[in-house]
Amino acid sequence: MRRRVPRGVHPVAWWVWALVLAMCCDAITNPLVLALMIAGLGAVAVGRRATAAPNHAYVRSVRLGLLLVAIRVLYGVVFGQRTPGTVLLPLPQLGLPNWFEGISIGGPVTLELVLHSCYAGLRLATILICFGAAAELASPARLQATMPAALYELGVTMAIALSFAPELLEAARELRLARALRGRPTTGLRGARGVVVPVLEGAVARSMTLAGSMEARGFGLARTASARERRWSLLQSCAGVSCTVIACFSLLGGALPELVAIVVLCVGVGCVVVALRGYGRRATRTRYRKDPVGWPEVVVGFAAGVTAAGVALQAHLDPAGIAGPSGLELPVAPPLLVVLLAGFVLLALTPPPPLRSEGRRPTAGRVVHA
Amino acid sequence: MIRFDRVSFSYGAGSPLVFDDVSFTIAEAELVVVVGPTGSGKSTLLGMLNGQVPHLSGGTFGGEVTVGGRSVSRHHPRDFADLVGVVVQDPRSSFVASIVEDELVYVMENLGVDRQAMRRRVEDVLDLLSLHDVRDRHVTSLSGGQRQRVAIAAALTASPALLVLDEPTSALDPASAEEVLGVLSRLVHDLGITVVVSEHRLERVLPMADAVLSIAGDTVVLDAPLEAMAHAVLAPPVVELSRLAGWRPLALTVREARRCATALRHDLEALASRPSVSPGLAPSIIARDLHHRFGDQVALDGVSFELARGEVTGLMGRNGSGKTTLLRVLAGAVAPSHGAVWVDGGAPAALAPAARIRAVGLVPQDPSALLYCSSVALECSTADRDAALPEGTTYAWFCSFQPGVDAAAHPRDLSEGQRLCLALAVICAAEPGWVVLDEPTRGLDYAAKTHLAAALAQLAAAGHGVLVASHDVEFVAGLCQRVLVLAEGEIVADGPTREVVCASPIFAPQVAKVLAPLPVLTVAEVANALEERS
Repeated sequence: MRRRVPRGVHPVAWWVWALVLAMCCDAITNPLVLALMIAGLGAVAVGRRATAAPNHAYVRSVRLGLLLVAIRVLYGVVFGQRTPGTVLLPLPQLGLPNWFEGISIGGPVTLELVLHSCYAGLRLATILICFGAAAELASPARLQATMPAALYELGVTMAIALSFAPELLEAARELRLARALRGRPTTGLRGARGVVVPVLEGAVARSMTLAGSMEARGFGLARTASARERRWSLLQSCAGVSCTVIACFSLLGGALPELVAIVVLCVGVGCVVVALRGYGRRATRTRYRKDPVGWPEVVVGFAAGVTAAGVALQAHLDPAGIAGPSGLELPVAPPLLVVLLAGFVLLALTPPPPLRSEGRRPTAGRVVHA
Repeated sequence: MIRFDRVSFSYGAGSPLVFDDVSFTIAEAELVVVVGPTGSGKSTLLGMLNGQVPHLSGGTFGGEVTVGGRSVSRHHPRDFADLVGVVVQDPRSSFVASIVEDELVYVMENLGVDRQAMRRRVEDVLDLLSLHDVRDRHVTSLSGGQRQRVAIAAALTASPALLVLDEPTSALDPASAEEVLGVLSRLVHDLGITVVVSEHRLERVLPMADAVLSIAGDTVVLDAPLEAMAHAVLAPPVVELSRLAGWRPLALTVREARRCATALRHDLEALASRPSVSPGLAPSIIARDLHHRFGDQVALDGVSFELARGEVTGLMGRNGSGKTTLLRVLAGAVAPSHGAVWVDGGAPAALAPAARIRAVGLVPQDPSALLYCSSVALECSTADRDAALPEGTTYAWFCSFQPGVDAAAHPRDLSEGQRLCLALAVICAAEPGWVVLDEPTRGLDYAAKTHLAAALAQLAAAGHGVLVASHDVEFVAGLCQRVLVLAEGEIVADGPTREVVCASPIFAPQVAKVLAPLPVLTVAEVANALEERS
């Protein structure tokens, strides 16, 4: 086989792949299938992540997933539907008035209840980990760079907003430390008041600097459109968005006949596309990186298709294979596992990521002095 | 290149004029240094060079500023993107992208430069600023000097004819500052870019400046460096030394001064034989084998020392060498992962918050983090209540440091130096045994620094222990009796200031470089010695 030239796969391909997998996971509570899913996502994330500036999104999402399972189990123990079986903890049940029908608080905690909550939590965690893996493979910033020109400014706004939250946390930590130096309370309502106001003040000041710096570097420079062009684009996008919203509501709620709704939807989407292209033509921005689209993207799409088809087939032929066991019995290993594995193995065909900077992986966090 | 024609400016009606009837012209390929006391309008002047003032700041603008033939009042800052590159004071707050390479191309993407040209320019700029080995790095993982160079590179990719920098070295250690200034001088000499830079520590930039733009009150004067320094209130030590020794023309660089100083060195020979007196004070802070790490990053790696009250100790070292962590450990805000520290016999981390601030008071790098009331008076009375002191104690401290400040003023409206003195007063009011300051001279002009040094010396004389972490070699040389140097979390030098700084080419103050091998650190010492002789 010809040696594959290292290159990154298009970020949209990874995100679509992860989205398809996440949608598949929604139907699955079989812990064996979910475990294979998490392992496969991890293998792909580690093997194909951009070597420059690793962001550890996968590991973080796994940690967050574990927390999610724990929360789900706690929720199950307190509010879950009581199932008969092996009692682990004889909690008393809280008597609720009649109109609280369907909700119970407390009651005996059985092993079955805990296991069931675990499976449900694991499903949520796997969906989260799908996105964690996608973020590791192609950071949201890279995804944002592929947005159509018309949505570029929106994309920048979102990317900055995303980077802002960790900085706010860092500022709050610094400030609490300073407060402690003055012997002030740092916890409770009084402590919070002393921290929130200066942190937000700092955030506003920082936003102003950033806005100034972006403006100084030509943000918002665009060929000016004539008033007529602008009015026309505005009309198109308004019409497009309204048609799309109306069509979606009718498709879900049935206010219009299905065929009419689909036609309206097509018209709406068409209008939006035309308006976006109009905006895009006027933007004079250029792109530094252009992610190519080729056979690796097709492979990723195909792998997503294989997984989705496998899950759909399993659900159709033997739904018990994707559902977690209801009792204490061990989960069954459905034939789906083989298909899932195939889906992940297929991704080995994608080219490895390019190794830059003399192949040295930069150490994140450690400040290296020049 | 730049023309100011009868420019006047004020931030809104009713507020005083920042500039009144200012006119000057700056030619191409000049390096111009903007000097002036804190709060005199240096940043405002720099902002005018690409229209951020008045377009983003607001205010009343009169007259005409043209840059490269474009009028500032008729063009927006974004219209200057291809002509003027701007580097803000803290580049961290100006980064748009998270990866270095993406940050560099941002301006070119906005300007619509085609991809081939972008690739070429990125490589050129990376080579020019020696940034190729960090091109894939996350901007948050860079050191201070690298960060500043990335910010300069991001401004340079648009091939601007003018580069504007607001205090580019104020947060950097001496070596990183040299590195950044070296880049600037190369840009002027090799590429012919006009550079306008504001700077407090003139000793660094003066040797390479072509002209000095001095702001005094509401007027601005453009002069050649020699003329500007002849009557400047704010002058670097080497200029003060030339004035004292009566050299004509004034020496602006260490090299020029050294050529003139043969006679002066001869006069001062008596100083060489003077033994350094060690007061032999009893130790008050004892640190033994301190280790601290954040994740896999080692901040402190086996630090041991003893410090005595009654003298001022300096703590030096490059950015990220563990200075801030060490100060926090001493103040009990951070418990070390290994090792122990005793302050007057007790471990600070084990003390209750109220007792801790009586043992060690720490003024952090950003003094405004300590302040949160809406007026100076309120801030002072809160501090009094917190430390259970009689009303007015803190305010009295503040007045002793910084007399003549309106008590009703909002702490945010104070100048950098006044705010620092307020934070210092808040900390000192609790009468802590030790006062510890982290990088206090950032953004202070010479007058404010002299003022701060006097206040700290006064504290040490009153029996407090004072420890100052600073990059400012001149400040440390003038104030501290003892210096510790940290590198990679270890103490690499510990001893009397004279011995430690004179032995190092990076930490030696200008006067020491001029008069070497004589162990003289400040102009004041030279003046005293000359007086003794006559």
